Amino acid sequence: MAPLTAWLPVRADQECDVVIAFLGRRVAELTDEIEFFSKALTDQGLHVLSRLSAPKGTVGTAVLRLRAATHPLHSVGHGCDVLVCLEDDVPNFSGFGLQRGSVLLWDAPDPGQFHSPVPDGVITYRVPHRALSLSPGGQYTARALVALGALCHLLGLGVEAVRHPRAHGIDLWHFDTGVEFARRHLVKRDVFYLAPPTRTQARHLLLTMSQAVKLGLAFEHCDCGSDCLHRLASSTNQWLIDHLSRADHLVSLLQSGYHPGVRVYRGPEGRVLALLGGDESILTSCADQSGEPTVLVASGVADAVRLLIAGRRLLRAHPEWTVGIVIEDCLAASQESIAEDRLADLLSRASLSTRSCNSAVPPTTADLFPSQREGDPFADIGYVAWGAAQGVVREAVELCQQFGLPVAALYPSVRHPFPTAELETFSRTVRRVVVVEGDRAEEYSRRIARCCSFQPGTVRPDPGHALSPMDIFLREGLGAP
Amino acid sequence: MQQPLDGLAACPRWTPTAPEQRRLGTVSTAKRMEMLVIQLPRGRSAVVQFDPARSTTVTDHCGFRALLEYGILDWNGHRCFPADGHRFFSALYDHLFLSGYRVRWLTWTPAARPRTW
Repeated sequence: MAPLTAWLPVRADQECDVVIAFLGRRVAELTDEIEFFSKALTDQGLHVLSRLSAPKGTVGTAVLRLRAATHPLHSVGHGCDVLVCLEDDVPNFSGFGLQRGSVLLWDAPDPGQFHSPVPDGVITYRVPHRALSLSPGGQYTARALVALGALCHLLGLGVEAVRHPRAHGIDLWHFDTGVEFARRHLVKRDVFYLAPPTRTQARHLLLTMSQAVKLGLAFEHCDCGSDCLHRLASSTNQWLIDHLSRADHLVSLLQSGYHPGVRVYRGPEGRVLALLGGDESILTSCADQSGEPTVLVASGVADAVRLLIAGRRLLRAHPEWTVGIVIEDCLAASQESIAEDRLADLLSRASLSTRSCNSAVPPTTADLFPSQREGDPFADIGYVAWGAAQGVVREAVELCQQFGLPVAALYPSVRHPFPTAELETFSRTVRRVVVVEGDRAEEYSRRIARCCSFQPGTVRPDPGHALSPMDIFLREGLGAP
Repeated sequence: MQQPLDGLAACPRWTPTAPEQRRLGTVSTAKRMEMLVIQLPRGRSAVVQFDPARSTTVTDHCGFRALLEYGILDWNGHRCFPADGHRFFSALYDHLFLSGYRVRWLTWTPAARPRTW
């Protein structure tokens, strides 16, 4: 088979699309620093998406993958353009998708101490973040900021734009040290560059999953009245600060010693719950009713806002029900940029539904949460995915369509009641159904096999790895000549 | 230094489409074009094209902006810029090759120009 690089078309519109991975045992603690960097990218008009993945490679080492691009993003993609290593030890770089031309920033030890762990052709910049962060402080976050400063310089980000006054709590001294080091000592040899989009685009808001949940649960309880959407357009950041502050007083956070690490957010009405990082069985114990709740699965930050708003609309029609939105582990610590006009659209739908819910026929779960279908009307392969795997499938379908392969995909949001009728209808329009699982439990494949009349194939990630669009593309044999 | 390859036969899969040629300005009356095709990570590629008749260098990849802005050192240690024409183009090939990229240098002559659609 010819190398894939020989097939792919040249991008002709000066788009940029860079995948940056941060590797380190304590990367999960760098929330403020990564948000500081992501906000700088969002302010430049770039779409940003970040995910914290499970420990991989060296035991206990976490990887935070951040993708920035001039076009909308659905997943963190495959491979790695830039790897920022914050480890003291020499890690095994083979599992991070580094290729010829990728960039590695790390505080490399003396070359005599290791046997060339960096793959051939990877452009390595030595940034001595340990030494540069010794004074003052010298903490882990300081080392990360030194590395971020060097990274910003290498990617061509305007330092003044990054050092925005909103960087509260960020030690800019270390960031500036990194920038200055890169300016004086690093000669740029790579071709990665984060340029703002040439076309004028809508402004973006950077939201963490927790912020999205709070917004979705407490949106209609703000003090803005009819002026809310106008305020969003005129002073976006202030609008966000005000609404999150209001939501902090209205949304309950439930935590239990029996379920460590799991967070359940409960809205003001008490019947809409968002479960971050746990199994849907926990919802039953949190709900105030004995019946089974309607369970939805979010595919990302924006989708969580959509589901929460629609879930509250469902409750207005059926006040005795309970709606739970499950947010998978990999999404619980994620960040995404949302276009301001998309957020306004979601919120305006909520306002409309508030006014019209009494007069309209009560909507059902299937009415409010229809599965979305994408791709050819009659396809050889039909993918089905729930949750975070949907973003990966969207990009895999796009990739297949670029090569003229007849594929389709179904994106259900509802997990309970199971959307059997929609799956049956979809299966009749494709030759083979393949369920793309987000983890190795194969829960959805088993449910489909139990409830539907067809037997699906399954794509699941390798142990310790997250699924990427290229995995789906290659594993199904579609790329073979 | 690698010698330029003659014609697109060296890279038969790469056939620029008509919109791509218009964007790059290759539908001009130039008699000869030279281009670098660079393989990037994650299955992407970039093209830098040099028009000897006009002595201009164009690219479809925004990552080359920094190189074009700050210039590149050639074998003699002199910094060259796009205005230096072929000297810059040659130095760019060396720079990319030595940095670790897979680069192909193609020469596009009228006789070898592929049919476009």
